[in-house]
Amino acid sequence: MSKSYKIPNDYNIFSALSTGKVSESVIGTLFLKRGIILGSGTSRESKADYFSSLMHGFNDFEIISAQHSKVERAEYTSSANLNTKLEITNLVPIIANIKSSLEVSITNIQLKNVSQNIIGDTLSIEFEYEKFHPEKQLFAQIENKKSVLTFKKVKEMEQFYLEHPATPEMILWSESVVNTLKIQDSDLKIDKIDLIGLTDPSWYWQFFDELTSKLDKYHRTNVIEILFKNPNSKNEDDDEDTYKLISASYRGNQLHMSNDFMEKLEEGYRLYRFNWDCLDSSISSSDKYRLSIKVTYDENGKSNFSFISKGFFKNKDGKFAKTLNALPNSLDLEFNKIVFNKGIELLDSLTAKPLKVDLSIKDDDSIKDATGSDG
Amino acid sequence: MSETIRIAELANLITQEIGDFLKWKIHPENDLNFSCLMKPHHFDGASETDNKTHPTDLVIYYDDPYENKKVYLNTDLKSYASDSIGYAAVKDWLISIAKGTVCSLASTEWKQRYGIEGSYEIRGLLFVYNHDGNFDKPFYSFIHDYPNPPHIGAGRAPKRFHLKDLNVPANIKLHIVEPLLIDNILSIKHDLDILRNGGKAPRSDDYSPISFFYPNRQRFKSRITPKECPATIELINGPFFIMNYDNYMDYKPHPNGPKNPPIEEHKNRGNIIYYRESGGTVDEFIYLIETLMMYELISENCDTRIRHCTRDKASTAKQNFLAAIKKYCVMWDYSQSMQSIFHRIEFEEVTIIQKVFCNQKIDRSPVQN
Repeated sequence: MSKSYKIPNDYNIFSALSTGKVSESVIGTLFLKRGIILGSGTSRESKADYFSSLMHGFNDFEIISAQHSKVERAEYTSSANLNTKLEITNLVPIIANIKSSLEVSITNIQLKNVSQNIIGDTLSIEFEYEKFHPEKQLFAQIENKKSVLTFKKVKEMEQFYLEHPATPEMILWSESVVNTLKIQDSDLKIDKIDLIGLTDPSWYWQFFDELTSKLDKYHRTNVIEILFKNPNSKNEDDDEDTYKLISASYRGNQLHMSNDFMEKLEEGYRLYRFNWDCLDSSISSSDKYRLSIKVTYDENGKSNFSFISKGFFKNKDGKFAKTLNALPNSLDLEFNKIVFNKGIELLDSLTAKPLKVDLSIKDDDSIKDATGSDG
Repeated sequence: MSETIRIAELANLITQEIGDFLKWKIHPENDLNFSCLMKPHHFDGASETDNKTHPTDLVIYYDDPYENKKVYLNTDLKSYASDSIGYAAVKDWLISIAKGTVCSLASTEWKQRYGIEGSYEIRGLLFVYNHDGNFDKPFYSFIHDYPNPPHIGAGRAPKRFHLKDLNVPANIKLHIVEPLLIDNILSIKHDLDILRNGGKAPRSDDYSPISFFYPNRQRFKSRITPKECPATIELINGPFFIMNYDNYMDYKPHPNGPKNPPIEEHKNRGNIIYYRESGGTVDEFIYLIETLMMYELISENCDTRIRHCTRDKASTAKQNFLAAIKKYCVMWDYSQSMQSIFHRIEFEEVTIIQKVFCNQKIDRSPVQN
């Protein structure tokens, strides 16, 4: 419990119970624990008002807090290749004392514990920390998080494949871990997808077009949304200074080939998010997969490329279901790896040779989206 | 046939044992029925012309400190042996009190009888007394909606009902005072007597009255003076409640014998916190300390006593409390003198007593003239 810990007052309790985040059954339980039964049709506001007038204990706080933190948003993943002579056996003693070389207090974040685990050829480092959200209502202000940095040994190579959630704190701590490893292996090198080298807007277009059009056997059918951000905007979640292209405005698959796309890049905007759908070309009745890339920039302009598979739409007799289902973990990991490998490969080819790009908008009928635009 | 007690006698006992302590008023009219206003709805197969009534054993009332109104509790009294307090009985009792309370809201007869006027709220109260003192299971284990621990071991899981099966209409409030809560209240009353006799609290209200504490909050302010505040039914059934008193002068016997005048002793104002959660974690007590700090109750020249009063006490409760004090002082980087204020906070267990103030079941036969 940190110094930022606060206990709720009656107004906080009223606000917390007035929202739909606390279920009716949980509110019923809070009352029942005090020997109170309320008529089932009693309005939520009346219940919130009544409960907020009572004396509240730690147990109430825990129950309400748990309700407010129950929805966990899936996070984008960043990947890297770590080229080093070090083996897992060399990493373990270094990681055992890693906490002392990490920044434990970042703005509103307190690192509490770092632990490691080995399963087969993968070393996982778990970061347990508390994130304080001053902008949120009191019950949602403290978020207890666990994030994992994995080192997967690449067979018969002096290389690890690294993955971690693309949150600012995990980007920072992962870099610190790598820097600590450099002390043990001065030849250590890290390969990441760094878009800062794509200085020409047309390279951006080509990078995202080629990366998403054919990911191994997964062929793009539709570009759903492209979001640009003004790099001078400080707040990552701020909707101002953002510009959105959605597939309702254009033919989806050519969204990234529109004039607006190029204009925004030329105006200095940077691509922030790219969402697209794809099908597995190796089977005739493939489900439809929704994938997303996010690129963030730190205060020094350094980019971080991350990826998430949002899920899939089930193919039922040639038509896709409207609900998005979660992907199996193995396929999720497969997508991460494919996107990363292709991204690295593309970046090498784009930055190594001069480009000639045809920017004329053309019809792409090679793959038809069975459901058309999702916009 | 077992010994029985009339409701009027039990009402007197409840007044003496509980009501006076909690500053509840109990209406002298008791054990009376009133006409049902929704007969076809409340009684199976009944028509509007049938003579159907609801019972009101007792009406308890008090001024709610936070609400500008009197709260009237239409009370159904039950005094049963432990093996008669079961799933089906509890469900029926609650359905009955819900129906009776709905009718009392619209009944002129009921309101005239109990002198209801001004700003008021009528609620239902099921008061279940266990007269053999053997009922020691959680009363709410009969209710599905309660977070009961999962059933383990041999035998069938206990039968439970859902709250929705009670069909309590919107905006109706029902309260339950069950055997373990009654034990709790009686234990607190007994504990307060021990503190009074030991000179750890004013020996009587003549020294300094001990009041139930209602902090002023953002959305709720106490509209009556501390001395007038009753212990509301929500307060006694909450996670903790606070009683406090002002500075007072105590008198000790003179060491040279009773012929000499007693010695005056200045006593600090104080807070007594009756704490009903388990005490299983350090965080739980940090939360309590922070709450007391928010209400500005911990300070110099003020005695604070935390009395742990629950059947489900964690065995490490006291250690957790001491660890919380230590952690809290470190958290706020308190000076030595500030730390000493916190280290003076007393934490003691309250022994839960089972005082059988009535050992008979209720006799509901008509009074013979």
